[in-house]
Amino acid sequence: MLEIKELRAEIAGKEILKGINLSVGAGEVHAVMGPNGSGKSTLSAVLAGRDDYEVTGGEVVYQGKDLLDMDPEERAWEGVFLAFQYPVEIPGVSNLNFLKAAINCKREHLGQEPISAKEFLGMVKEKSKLVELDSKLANRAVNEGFSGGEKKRNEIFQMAMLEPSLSLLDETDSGLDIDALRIVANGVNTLKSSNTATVVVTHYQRLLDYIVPDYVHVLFDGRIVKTGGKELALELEEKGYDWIKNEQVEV
Amino acid sequence: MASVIENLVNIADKARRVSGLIPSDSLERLLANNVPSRFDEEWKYTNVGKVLKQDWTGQAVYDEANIERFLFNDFDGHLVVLVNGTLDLSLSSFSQEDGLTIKPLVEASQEELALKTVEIQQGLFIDLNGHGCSGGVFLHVDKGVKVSKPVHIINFLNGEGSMTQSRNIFVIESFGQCDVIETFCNESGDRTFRNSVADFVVKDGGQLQYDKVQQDGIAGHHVATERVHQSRDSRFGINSITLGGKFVRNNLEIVVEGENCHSELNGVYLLKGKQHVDNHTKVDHRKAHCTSSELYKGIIDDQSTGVFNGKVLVRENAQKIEAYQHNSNVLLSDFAAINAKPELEIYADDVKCSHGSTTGQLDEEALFYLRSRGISESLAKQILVRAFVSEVIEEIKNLYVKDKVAELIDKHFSV
Repeated sequence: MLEIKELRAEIAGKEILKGINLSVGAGEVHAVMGPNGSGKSTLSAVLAGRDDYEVTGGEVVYQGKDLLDMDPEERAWEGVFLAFQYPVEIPGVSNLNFLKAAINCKREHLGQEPISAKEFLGMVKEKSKLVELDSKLANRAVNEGFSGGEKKRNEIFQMAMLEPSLSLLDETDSGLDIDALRIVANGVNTLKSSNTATVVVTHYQRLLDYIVPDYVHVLFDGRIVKTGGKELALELEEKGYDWIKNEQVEV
Repeated sequence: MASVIENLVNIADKARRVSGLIPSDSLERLLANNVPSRFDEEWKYTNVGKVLKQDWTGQAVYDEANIERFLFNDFDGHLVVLVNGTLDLSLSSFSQEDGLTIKPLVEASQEELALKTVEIQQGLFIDLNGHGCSGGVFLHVDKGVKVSKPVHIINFLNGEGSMTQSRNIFVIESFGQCDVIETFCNESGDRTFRNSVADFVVKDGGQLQYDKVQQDGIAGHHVATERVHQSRDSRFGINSITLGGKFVRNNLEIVVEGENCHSELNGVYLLKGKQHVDNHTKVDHRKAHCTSSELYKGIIDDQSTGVFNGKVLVRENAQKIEAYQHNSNVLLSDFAAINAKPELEIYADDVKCSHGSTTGQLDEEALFYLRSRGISESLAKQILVRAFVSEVIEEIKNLYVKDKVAELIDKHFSV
């Protein structure tokens, strides 16, 4: 579904990604782990189309198409979803109107009729239950006045509403207590299918207790330096990232 | 060769239908005015000379007033239509509700034209309007009467190169209440110049809400003056929505001459192309224990320019005043500009006043967030623009106006 080849990217002249290779197939869950500053967030940002980063080399092929050539909205229409590490508060824009606009833009792109009010509200009711999001929150302005946990649940709620093929979760676990973590993970697990893929970017192993990955990749200094199964995450948790760092120095 | 002012006076002379708005010696005073220039502090950022020097000898066209698209949907209220500054009874439909008088200004008596607002502000534009007034509305609400339905005035212009001086007078007697909406509009494309004056007198305990929607076409020029006089326990509110016009200058001055009054001034201006819109406001607190609140927000795109100059004056004996003033702007293009000058002038020592002004761009993070969810860039911008002005739109209590303005804002950015 997603092929990343020798991806290089920089911000303000500083190279952050130094040749990433990653292949994600349908039905798979991949975890990308790494210490602070290794390039985790840059990777998600580049995949989502944030233009602060300049891609200087490599390619990203998503479902046979050149992902890097698409605007952020086109990526969303094609089924890419990024759950933000820091969801943005947008005062004055209602959560539901925003989602409806997003769904209808995608439908228009696909040549479909706009969603009916009834269908939309039915969907909201069903999907908000999934992440135990209070219906009052759904009606408020986007993320305005939401707690950290509510913001992250709102991200997964949006993901549920937009039904993406490829979901990128950028440090979705940061700032969550155990209950919120469980709810968020439960949402992600419910949305998983053999046609969708999930890339979980995280610093800590604990989210992976709930969202069990098929593959774990260790990102260090802009490169993926190690790939393994879910047990690699546990090893990292136990030994810390210094182990990787030392190994790299030795190499 | 005749001076610019003489030319304007000559044109105004021919259009005059209402007399008695100005004293007999006013012609001299009028001719003694200079064309405001950039050296006048009040006109520093607005080159009105360029407008006054144009040829305004074009003829107003009275038939074919196409007002359809300026009407509110399913409007239940009094409709007053002015065509080129004159009340057109055939297009209007207002009933004489008990305690409410609406009539053409020409029918107002000399006593009715003697207003307290006359003491507020004089100057070239008011004198010119007084001299060449072609008409307008006289609206009077009797003591203790709450007018049940809103009054919608459509102030329509027609005629390439034409100039109009309309004057509206609103008098709310003690404890009277009324909602008035005025839409300024012209046939799109006609180069027009309107110099309008509105006088508002709100007596003890009276309440007047005035919603003004400016949607002249791309060649409309408008200098609007509103003079407001409030007596004790009264409330005056204005929502000033500027969407159209090539050149707009709003002069709003509120004199609060009584205790326990509230004045509310809100404004939205959405500018694009080469529009220039200047909002000058002044609240003059002369008596104690009053509150005023002002919020103006602007979106400035393309090569358009905006000016905001808001002044709050608290006189020496006006203690316990609470005055709040805020202006904020979003620039959507590198060529757009705003000159903002919030001013407080306070001579009393026990007051709570605050003012501020901000200018920035649309939040890039928010824009990316919306786009990453599949909302196209243009729609995302439109959503954020609406969100930015929603704070002011929420202040519009009249639902006809609120819906219309929401519709116009969407339209404004969809082209």
